[in-house]
Amino acid sequence: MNTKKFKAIITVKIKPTIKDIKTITLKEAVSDLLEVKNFNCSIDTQYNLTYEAEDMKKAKAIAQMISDEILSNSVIENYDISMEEIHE
Amino acid sequence: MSKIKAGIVTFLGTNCERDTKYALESLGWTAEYIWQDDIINKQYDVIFLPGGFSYGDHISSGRIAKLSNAVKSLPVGKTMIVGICNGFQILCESKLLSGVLTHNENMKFISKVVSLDFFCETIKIPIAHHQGNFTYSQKNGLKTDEKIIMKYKENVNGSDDNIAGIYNIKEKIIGMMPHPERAVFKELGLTDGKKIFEFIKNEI
Repeated sequence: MNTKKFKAIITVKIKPTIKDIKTITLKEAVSDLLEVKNFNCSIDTQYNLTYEAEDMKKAKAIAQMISDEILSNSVIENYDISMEEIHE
Repeated sequence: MSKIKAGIVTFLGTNCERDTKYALESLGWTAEYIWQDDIINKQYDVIFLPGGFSYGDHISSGRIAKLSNAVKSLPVGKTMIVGICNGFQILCESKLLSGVLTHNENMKFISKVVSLDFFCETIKIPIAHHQGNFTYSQKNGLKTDEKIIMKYKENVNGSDDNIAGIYNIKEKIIGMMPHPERAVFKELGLTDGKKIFEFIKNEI
C-alpha cells in the first residue's frame, strides 16, 4: 500500500476557564515590570510530528488520536492541528 | 475471614510499591506486584496503583501509564481499585475518575505532612507531589457516583474545593494524593494511614 509523508503541528492550550499560573505570572511580570499596556498572552505547548499515512484524512485522524491519548487532557486543555503533506 | 489479596501495579518509574506492600502485609493482607505490561486476569480483592513517577511524568503525570496493558485491563466495577498519588493521576488521566491533577499552584514540588478531613476526623498523612492540584471540569464537576472522601485542612496545592481524595462508590475506585503507606509504621512517627486502609478494607 502506498503511503505519503505528513507533518502535523499540534498546539496544546490550557482552557481559558482553567487557572494557568505560568500565564498569570508572565502577564503580571510583563505588565508590571516591563510596563507593557494591555498585555495578554497564553503559554502553549507545540509538538511537531512527522509520519506516514495513506492520505490526508487518515493522517489527520492519527494526529487527533495522538492528541487525545497523549498530548492533551480534555478536562483542562484544547488543541489545534495544522497538517501538511511533505513532498521530498 | 481469609486474608485480603492485593495486587500492586508497577510501572517504569514507580517508587512506592515496596512501601505499599510492606504496609499491607503489616496489616495482615497479602500483596503481589503486577507489571505494567501484564494483562490483569487474576482475582484480587483490591488493586493498588502506587505512587512514583511512571514514565518519568513525561508530557504530564500518568498520561503515558494510562495506555499500559495493566491499566487497560483493570477490572473496573468488579474489584476495588485504589490509586495513590501517581496512581490517582493515572486514574484521572484514564477518565476512570473525574478531574485532573495539574501543577501545584506554587509550581513547586511539595513534600510534607498535611492535616486532612477524613470522615469527620482529622488525620495526618504525608504528601509528595508536583502535580497534586485537583482540578475538575467546571461544567461537569464530579460524577454522580463520586464522593469527596478526603480534604486538605489547608489548601496546600490549589486543589478545587481542597480535594485530596475522591471515591467512585459504584465502580469502587478510590484516588488520593496523600500517601497512607507512609503512615503505617510507628517508627515513621505517623500511623493514621491505617485508618485509610481500614476504610478500604471495609469497602471491599
